[in-house]
Amino acid sequence: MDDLITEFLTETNESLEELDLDLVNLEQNPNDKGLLSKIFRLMHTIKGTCGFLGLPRLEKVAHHAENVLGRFRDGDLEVTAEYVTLIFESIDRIKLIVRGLEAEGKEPQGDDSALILKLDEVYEGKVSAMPNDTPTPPPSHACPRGKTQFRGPGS
Amino acid sequence: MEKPSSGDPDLKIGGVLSQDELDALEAAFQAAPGPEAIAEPVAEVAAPPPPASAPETSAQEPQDSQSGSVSSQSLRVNVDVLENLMTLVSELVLNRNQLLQILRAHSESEFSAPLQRLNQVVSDLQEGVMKTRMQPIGAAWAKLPRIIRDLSLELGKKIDLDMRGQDTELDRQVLDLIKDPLTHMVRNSGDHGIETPAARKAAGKSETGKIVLNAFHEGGHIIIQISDDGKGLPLERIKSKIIEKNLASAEELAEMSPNQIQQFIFRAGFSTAEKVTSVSGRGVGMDVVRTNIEKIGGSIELKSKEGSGSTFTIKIPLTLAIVSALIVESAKERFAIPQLSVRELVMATSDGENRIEHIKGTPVFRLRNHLLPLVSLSTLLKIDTPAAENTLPSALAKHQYIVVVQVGTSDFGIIVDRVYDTEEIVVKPVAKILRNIELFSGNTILGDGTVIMILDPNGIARQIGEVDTDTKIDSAGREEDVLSDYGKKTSLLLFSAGDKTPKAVPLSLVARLENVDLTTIERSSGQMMVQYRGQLMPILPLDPSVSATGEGEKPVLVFSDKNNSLGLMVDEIIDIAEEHIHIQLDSGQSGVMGSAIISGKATDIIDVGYFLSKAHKGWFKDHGDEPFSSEGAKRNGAAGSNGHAKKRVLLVDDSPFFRNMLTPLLSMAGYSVVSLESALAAMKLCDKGAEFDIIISDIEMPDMDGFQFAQKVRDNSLWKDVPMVALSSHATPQDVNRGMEMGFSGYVAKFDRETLLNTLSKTLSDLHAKRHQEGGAQ
Repeated sequence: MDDLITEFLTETNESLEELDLDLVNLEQNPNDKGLLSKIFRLMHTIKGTCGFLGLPRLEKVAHHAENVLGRFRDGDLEVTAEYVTLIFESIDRIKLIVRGLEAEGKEPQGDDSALILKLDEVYEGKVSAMPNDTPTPPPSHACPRGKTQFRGPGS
Repeated sequence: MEKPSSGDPDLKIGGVLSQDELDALEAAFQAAPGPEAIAEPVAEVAAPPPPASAPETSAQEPQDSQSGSVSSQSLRVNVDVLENLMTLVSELVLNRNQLLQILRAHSESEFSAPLQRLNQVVSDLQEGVMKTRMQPIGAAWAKLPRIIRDLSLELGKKIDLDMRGQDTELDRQVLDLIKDPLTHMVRNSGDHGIETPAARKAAGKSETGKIVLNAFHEGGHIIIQISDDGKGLPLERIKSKIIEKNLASAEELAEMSPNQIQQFIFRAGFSTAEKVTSVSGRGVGMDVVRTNIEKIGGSIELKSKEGSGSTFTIKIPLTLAIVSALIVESAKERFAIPQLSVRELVMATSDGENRIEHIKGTPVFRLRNHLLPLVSLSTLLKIDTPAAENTLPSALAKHQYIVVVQVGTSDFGIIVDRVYDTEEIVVKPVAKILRNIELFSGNTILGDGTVIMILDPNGIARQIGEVDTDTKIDSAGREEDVLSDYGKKTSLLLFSAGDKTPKAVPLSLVARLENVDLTTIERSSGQMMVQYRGQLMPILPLDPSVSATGEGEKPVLVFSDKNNSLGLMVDEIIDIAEEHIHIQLDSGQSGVMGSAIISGKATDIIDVGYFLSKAHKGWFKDHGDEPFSSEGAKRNGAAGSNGHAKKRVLLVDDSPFFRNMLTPLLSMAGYSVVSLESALAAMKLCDKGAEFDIIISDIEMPDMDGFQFAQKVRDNSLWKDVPMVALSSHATPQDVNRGMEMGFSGYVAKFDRETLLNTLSKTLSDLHAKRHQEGGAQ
C-alpha cells in the first residue's frame, strides 16, 4: 500500500476515534464553541486529505457532514440528538469506507446518496427562514433510532 | 531539512563555516517565519549557534498549533521499531542475568562494580523501553461513550458513563487484547444491567443509571472494574437457563450459593438476555470475554446483587513481554509459574497436620478447612524419575511444596519438589511444535542460560479438569459440586473400625481428617478429649474395639458445626467413593443407619447424629437430656412403601451441617430431597411452581424464620395444602403450639431423626388417607 495512504489511514482512524468522543461531549455541552470548532476541523482535515489523495467517496461524505457541522459552528443550527445521530451516521460511513480502504487498498463500492440527501436536507435548512417541526419520513437504513424526527425545512 | 544543530555548534563559534553549512542554516532560517523574513543577513554576519537553534524551535511552533490536541512532546514511531527495541532489550536482560549469575560464583571480582552498574542501567533501559510500549487505557475506552450514547437512545434508557483512571498505562499488546472484551462488557452493563427509567424509578433508584469504569495499578497488575447500579444478575433466570441448557440439575442449584450460580454466565453459549437486541444477546457471551482475558494471563471476577447492580473485576498483567514468575523444580527440571496466578505457597510435611492426603491416588490438601485438589507437576508432565514411579509422592520427601494457584474463582495446588526465587523472565513464545500442549504458555531463558518452560495455570486447570472427571475429588472448584450432589451421588468416606466390615460416612459431613497422637488424649469424667485448635474436642471411638490407649497415632474424623466439634476415632481411612446410596439392610445396631453396597462391598453407613448426640449434650441444644434411642420405631417411611413414586421433600435449614446430615438420611429413607438454605429461597422456588409432597423447615433462620415461612406458605396458593414439619432445637410446648398455629402439621426436635421420619411417613399417609376419603365422598 502507498505510504501516504497508510499514513492517512492511521491518522484518520485516530481522528475518527476522537470525533466519536468529542461528539458525545458536544451533545452534552452543545454550546462549547471550542469543541465545535475542533470537531469541524477534524472533519475538515479528513475531507481535505481525501481530496488530496483522490478518495472521492470519502471526500463526499466528509464534505456533506462538514457542511452540517459548519452550521452548528455558525450557531444557526441547534445541536440536537437527532443531528448528532446523523453526524454519527456519517462517521460510521466514513469508518466503513476507511476499513474497506484498509483491506483492499482502494475505496469500496457503495451508495451514499441516501445519507448525503439527509445531510443536505439538514444543511439546506439554512436557506429556509425558520426551522419548523415537520417530520420527515423515517430514514431507510442504519439510523439506530429508527424513527428520527428532523427539524428540516418543509419536507 | 538538515538541522544545523546536528553538528557541534560550539566548535564553530568564530570559525569559518563551509558553504554547505551556511546553506543548511539558511534553509532553516527561511523555513522559519519570523519578524524578519529574510534570513541571509543574519547568517552572513556570524551564524552563531543561538540563532541557529532559535529558528528550529520557532519553526515547530506553528506546526503544533495546527495539529491542536497533539502534544508537541509526542512522536509517531512505527510499532515494528518498538517491537524490535523490545526484543533487543529482552536479550540484554537475559545477558545481564547471565552475567550476574556468573558474578555470584566469584565473590571478589573486579567486574562486580561495573556489572552492578550495568545491571542498574539495563533495568532502567528495560523500564524505559517498556514505557514506550505503554498506552493509557483511555485509548481502549475511547469508543465507549459513543456506544453508551447510542445504546441509551436505542433502548430509551438514561445512562451515565463514568470513566476513572484513564491515564493508567498498560502495554499496547495487552490493551489491544482487552479492548473488545471491555467493550462487550460495558455494552452488557448498559443493555442488561441498567433498567429503563421507569423500572429504576419503581425500584426507588434515580432514573439515570450509572456505569463506572475504573482502572488502577495494583502490585504489578492492572485492575479494571466495570460496575453498574442496575438490576444485577437475575438469579432465577440464570437458574432456569442452567436447567434448560442442562448444565446442572435443580437439586444441584439448590445447593449452590448465588455467587456460584452467577458464575455460570461465564459458561459457553450462555446468554440470559430475554430478547436479542442489536447490541447484545447474540450468544457471544461472557465466555468469550473470559477466554480472551485468560489468554493474556488475566482473570475476571464477578460480584452481583440482584436489584443493586453488578461489578466485574478484571486483573491483567501490565505487560506480556517480561513477567515476574516463580521458579520451581520438579523431577530435576525447572519451570516458571507466572506470579499473577500464584496465590500462596504451602509447605506440606509428610506427617502431622499439614500433610498431603491421598484419596484413591488423588492427592488433596486441607487448607484452612477447604479441600484443595492437588496435582503433582511431575505426574502431570509425566517426568517422573523411574525411582519415583513406584512410590507414592508422599513417601518421597519429608517436605513438599504446594504452589496454590488461582484460576478464575477456583484454586488448586501444584506439588513441586523445590521452590526457587521469583524472577523477572522474558517470555518467549512456545515453539510451533509444542504449541498444542496447553500446559505451557511459553519459555524463557534463566540467568544461568538454561531454557525452561513457563507453565500455563489455565491450561493445567483444563488438563486436570479432563483427567479427573472420573475420579472422586476432581479439579478446582469441584468440591462444591461434590457437596451438592446429594440425591444423585454421595461422596462417602470409607474407613474401618473394629470389625472387618468397611464403614462409610458422607464426606461432606467431615470437616477434617486428623491423626491424633494417642498420648495426647486426656480423659475427663470418662470422656476422652484432645486439645484441638485451642479447644477441647471430645473423642469417641467409633467402635468400642477401637483402642485408644497405647502409643502411636490414630486417624480421627472431625465433625464440626459452629462451635462444637467431635472426633470419631477409627482404625484406618480406606478410600473415598462416590455412590448412589441405597440402604439395603436396616441395622438394629446403634450408630449405624444401615448397610449399603459401596465399591462392591457391604458397608455400614454410620449414623453421625448418633455419635454427635452422644458426645455433645449441647449439640442439639435443649434435647440433649433425652437419651437418644434408635431402637424400636423401625423406619416405615417412604422407604417401606416400595412401588410408590418417591415423595418429594423440601428441606429448609440455614445450617449447612444439618442440611448435609439430613439430606442423605432422607434420601436413604426413600425421599427425593431438595434442600435450601433459606425460606426466601424456598419462596422463590414456590413462585416458580416447584411441587413438593412435604416441607421440612427449620425454625431459627435468618431473614425469615420458620414461623413466618409457614405463614407465607399457608397464604400461598400453590403450597398451602402441602403439610409442613417444623424442625427445631427448641421444642418446648409453647413452641410446638405456636408452630401448630402457624400451620405446621408436625414439630420435631432437630436431633430426633427417628421421630422425623415417623412424622414424615405418618403425615404423608394421613394426607393420603384424607385425600382418599375426600375422593370417595365425592
